Amino acid sequence: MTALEKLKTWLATYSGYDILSALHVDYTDKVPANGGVFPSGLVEVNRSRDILGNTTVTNQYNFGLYCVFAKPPGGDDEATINADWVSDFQEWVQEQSITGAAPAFGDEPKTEKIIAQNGMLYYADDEGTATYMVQLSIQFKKFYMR
Amino acid sequence: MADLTFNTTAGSVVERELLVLYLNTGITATPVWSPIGKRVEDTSVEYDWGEDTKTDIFGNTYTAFKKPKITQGFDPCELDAGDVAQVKLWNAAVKDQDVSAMANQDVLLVHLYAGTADTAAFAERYPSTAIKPSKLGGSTSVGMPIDVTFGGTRTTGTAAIAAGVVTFTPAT
Repeated sequence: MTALEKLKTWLATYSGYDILSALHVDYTDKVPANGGVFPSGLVEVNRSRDILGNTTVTNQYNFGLYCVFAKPPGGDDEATINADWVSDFQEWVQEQSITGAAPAFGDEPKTEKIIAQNGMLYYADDEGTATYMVQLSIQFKKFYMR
Repeated sequence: MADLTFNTTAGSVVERELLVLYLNTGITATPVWSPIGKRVEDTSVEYDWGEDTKTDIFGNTYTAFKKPKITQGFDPCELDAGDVAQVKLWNAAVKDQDVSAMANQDVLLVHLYAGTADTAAFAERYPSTAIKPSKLGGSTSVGMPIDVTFGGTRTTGTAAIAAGVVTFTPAT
């Protein structure tokens, strides 16, 4: 299973996920209640080599999660519901990461860190929809033994 | 023993992984050599030559050395069930506090860069080496830094490595 497949499968276990009728990749529809995962690649955070020639790499996957929700112009109630969803999602990610319930992406699951941050309104139109964005990062270690 | 040559490429530095300290995790007669230093990124063998320098009444300087006291420190040495050497040292020091065992460890320092690569690299065995943990703990993982003082009758020879198995042959 690829990292993207693993991520999508895991996101589907979020209790608020059922509000989304679909979760696309690199795409969101303009109708309310759908989302998209936008991968932005892997960053090598650190690489170290021990005296025996074994190498440890710390990598970080970055994703953007975009969700399209209903939000009429000036609709405070809808905006509040949407903002609460985003905040709750971020807290869920944090809890899953800390308790070890999140999937493992590397070779040392206990040191992995998944962070969902900067959830915010990304774009709102006059037709009653708004796009919210959350930045997801997954930091994990890979070991390459000599 | 005649002078040895380095088996590495001229003009390139010797890789750190070509100097390895092994701990005998078997028995003296049939040693099993297990590497020390997994996840340790920087450590050096240190030589104290007991240098004594004198200047005589004519202003001439003379320096004398003693056989070196050799030490090496490994830090942080995070505990890992797959590190056989570390498990043995933990049992001797932390579990049993067996000071006699701690002071009489059998180690082999292999210079893989000198002599014939993989089949006859220069090696030195120190059968009564003192190894003591200085700490146990840490923040996110348990580390057990160790200090090694090489000791006992030094035996030089060659080491061959095949599929991770080290075989030491004393020089005749």
